[in-house]
Amino acid sequence: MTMKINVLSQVGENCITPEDGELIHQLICTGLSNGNSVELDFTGVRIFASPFFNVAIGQLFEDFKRDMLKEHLTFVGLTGHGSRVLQRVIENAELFYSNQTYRMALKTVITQKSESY
Amino acid sequence: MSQTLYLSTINDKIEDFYTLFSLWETFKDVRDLQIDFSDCRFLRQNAVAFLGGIIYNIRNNGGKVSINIGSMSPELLMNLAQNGFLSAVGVNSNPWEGNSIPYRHDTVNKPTLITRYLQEQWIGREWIAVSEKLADTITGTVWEIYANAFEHGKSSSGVFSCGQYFPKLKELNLTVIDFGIGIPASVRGFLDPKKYPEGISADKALEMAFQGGFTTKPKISRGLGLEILKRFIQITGGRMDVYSHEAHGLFSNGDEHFHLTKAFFEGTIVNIMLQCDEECYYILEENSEQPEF
Repeated sequence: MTMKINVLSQVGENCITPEDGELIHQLICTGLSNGNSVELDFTGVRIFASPFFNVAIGQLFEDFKRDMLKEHLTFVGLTGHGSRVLQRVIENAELFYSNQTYRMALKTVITQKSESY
Repeated sequence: MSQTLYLSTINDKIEDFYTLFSLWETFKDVRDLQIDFSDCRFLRQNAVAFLGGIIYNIRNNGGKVSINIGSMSPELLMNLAQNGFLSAVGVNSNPWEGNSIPYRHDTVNKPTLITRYLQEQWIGREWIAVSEKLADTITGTVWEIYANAFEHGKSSSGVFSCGQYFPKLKELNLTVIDFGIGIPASVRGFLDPKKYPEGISADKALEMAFQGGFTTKPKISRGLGLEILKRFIQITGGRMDVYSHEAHGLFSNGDEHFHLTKAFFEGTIVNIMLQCDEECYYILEENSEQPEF
């Protein structure tokens, strides 16, 4: 079964903020976790920016494998700019979440910083 | 005791930015400031936004600032009234539409209002004859500047911006300023000390921030906004100057340079110039391919 998410009706004409990204991210996670495929329909959305996609799509790589996302998450109605930004976010997220060494190093730095306060 | 700031003509060359940084260092802690414009013939958009920041920060810290309207030339008075600067700093004046793009101060992030400002009062004024979809593309790309300023700048005074259209030069400009912690501080805060035991210089930190994927938010993959902005400027023949701490990043003619400057500014300034030739933007025309995992 495919769960369709109308992004315009959820967040409006602008997909630019992490807060709106989080809303869409939660809807996607619910659909995928319930065993559904998800179709994100961006028809009517005009303005796109990376903070939205980083949260809505990028952080999916933390919980789902790329092959799973490729099979069960599709996009329709993106403008050329929206498509280019999202493609770049996907590439960046895959690198980020697959690079355990990099992430562990960051965690170490954060731990050290938090302990120093 | 009152001090007087004698403002000169300020454009957007590197020396003009040094002048602005010097003014900030000299007057930011003054309790009673008068601003005299006798030697000032014109203020570019970067100077208008920066001056607005100086005035707001002094007043916000309990200081007093007086604007000497009588010292302004008629041309300067018209320019600063037109772009709404005078009314924003408390002078009784009504702005109107011209070649100015309104001065703007956002103490908190207001995405809907800021994108509407960009759509209707900057790119939407049709000085660049692009389609609505391309105008939306430019708006989304330039929004990345504001998103970065609000997310990483950590400025208690918000974000100051102003634009200007230069019909003879066929240029559309915009400056966005925050008086926050600056990009180098943001980058240095999350470097691996084992890899960089000596730390890094401000220009190197600025360069790293413009490399795709560098993020100062370690829980989620980020750090693409400045790269997207940089690529947009480079492929459309525009120019971008970024000043933060003692670093300057210049993006022009498809190239980029980072170097150390003679003056220090703790916050961040992004100054962009777009060409008003629509042919520069055809490369951004739509394609119908949807992204894939």
